[in-house]
Amino acid sequence: MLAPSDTPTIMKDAAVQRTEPRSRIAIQHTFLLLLFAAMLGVGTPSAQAQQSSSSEAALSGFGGLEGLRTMTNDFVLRLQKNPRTAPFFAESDVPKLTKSLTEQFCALLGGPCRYSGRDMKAVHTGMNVRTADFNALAEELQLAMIQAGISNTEQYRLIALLAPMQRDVVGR
Amino acid sequence: MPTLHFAALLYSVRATLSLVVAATLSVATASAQEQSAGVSGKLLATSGVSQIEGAAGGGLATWAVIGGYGTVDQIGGSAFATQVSLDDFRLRSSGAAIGFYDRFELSFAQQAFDTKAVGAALGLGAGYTFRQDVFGAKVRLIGDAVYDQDRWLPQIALGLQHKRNHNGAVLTALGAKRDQSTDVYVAATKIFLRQRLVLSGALRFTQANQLGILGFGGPQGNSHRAQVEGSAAYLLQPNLVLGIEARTKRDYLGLGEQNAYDAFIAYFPNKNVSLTIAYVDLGKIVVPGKQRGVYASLQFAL
Repeated sequence: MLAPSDTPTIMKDAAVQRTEPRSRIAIQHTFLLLLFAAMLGVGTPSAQAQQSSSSEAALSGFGGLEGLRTMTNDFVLRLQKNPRTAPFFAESDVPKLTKSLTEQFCALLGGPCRYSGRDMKAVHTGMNVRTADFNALAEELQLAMIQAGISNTEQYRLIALLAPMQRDVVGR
Repeated sequence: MPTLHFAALLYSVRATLSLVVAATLSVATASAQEQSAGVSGKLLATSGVSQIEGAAGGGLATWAVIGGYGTVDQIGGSAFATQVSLDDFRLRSSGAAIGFYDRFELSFAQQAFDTKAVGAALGLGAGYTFRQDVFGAKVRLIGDAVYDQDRWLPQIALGLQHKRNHNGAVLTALGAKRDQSTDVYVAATKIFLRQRLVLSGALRFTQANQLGILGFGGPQGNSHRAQVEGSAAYLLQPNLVLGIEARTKRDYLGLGEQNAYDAFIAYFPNKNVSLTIAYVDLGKIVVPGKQRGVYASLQFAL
């Protein structure tokens, strides 16, 4: 486990600080301010979801529609390999599924697309998808986005938009 | 001195045993659940780490998430070892938690608070160690911290922590009224994926002195009072979380007990292991000056 260590060097700095009550108070105030600022900084989730306007700019973080399609294609191939998700996608027509998912992601991100596929509840009825399967899909998407060099900010944006679908997908 | 070494050895043996037992238990339960395919469960880092009293949370604060990587269809678990090296003391805590179907959590932690040289000054003997066992239970009531990205509702859980301190006689001498007590808390946790933020708050009804390490109640009061715990964390990347925490405490003993704060970084190289390092300020503990230092915690999870 963790080796017991008596008074590491960092503690000596702490011991010096102890003699300055002003810095103590400053640290406490900084904590509370940061906590408060963090809470204020959070927008309404739904408002955030609608924020992106229907434009090409919404996809710039994904390398445009073409970049999004390339990433999605990789994602679909990953879904067919992962033992957790493979049973659901083994029979899928790769180009067709890539096209449909690209369209869906594009629309969700606020890009110039309209999702023409069936709604999520209908698609997954009878499939008995479990939460762990849904999460495995999310993990493969994350890996595909990392592989495509998409920034953390954009990765979290797409994941946040997809997360609520868990309710429509799982247990049907 | 030999007694001290023996006590330390005994402690680490006990700690190691509890880790091994917990890990074995977790492996057994997880493998029983996970026959179909490889490891999956919850998303990385979404079950938090083990807080100092053994529940799933941040380092000091308790969260509404259920420990381990088990989803609604699975049983998960975690085991941890934490050491907090303070200016004058050292706190060690180790234990385990089992999460049932992302709904219930049972946890256990044993804490050892080494008074080092202060023990001698207080006439207890150098290295006098306070020991406490914490038995925890938590139930998720409503909401989902991860999936409800389109709702304001956080994940809310109700929990309790039954604490049994082993140092009754010394606690009485210090002025504490009891050597065992039960904390009850309500916690609310929300992960804002888009903003890459985790916000969590808890209201804890407790009569503990220094988490119970110095017993419960005292000359300044003996009733359970509401204390606040809060965490704000930023998801730097999927496997790296930075955050700050605060936890209020009440001075029942009249020894100047103060609030606790920490700033942490938690690293999740995979779902089975995480390492949390923090800078903590536990406020005044008996002797003059604030007790600050380094918090290090290793967690194994399934």
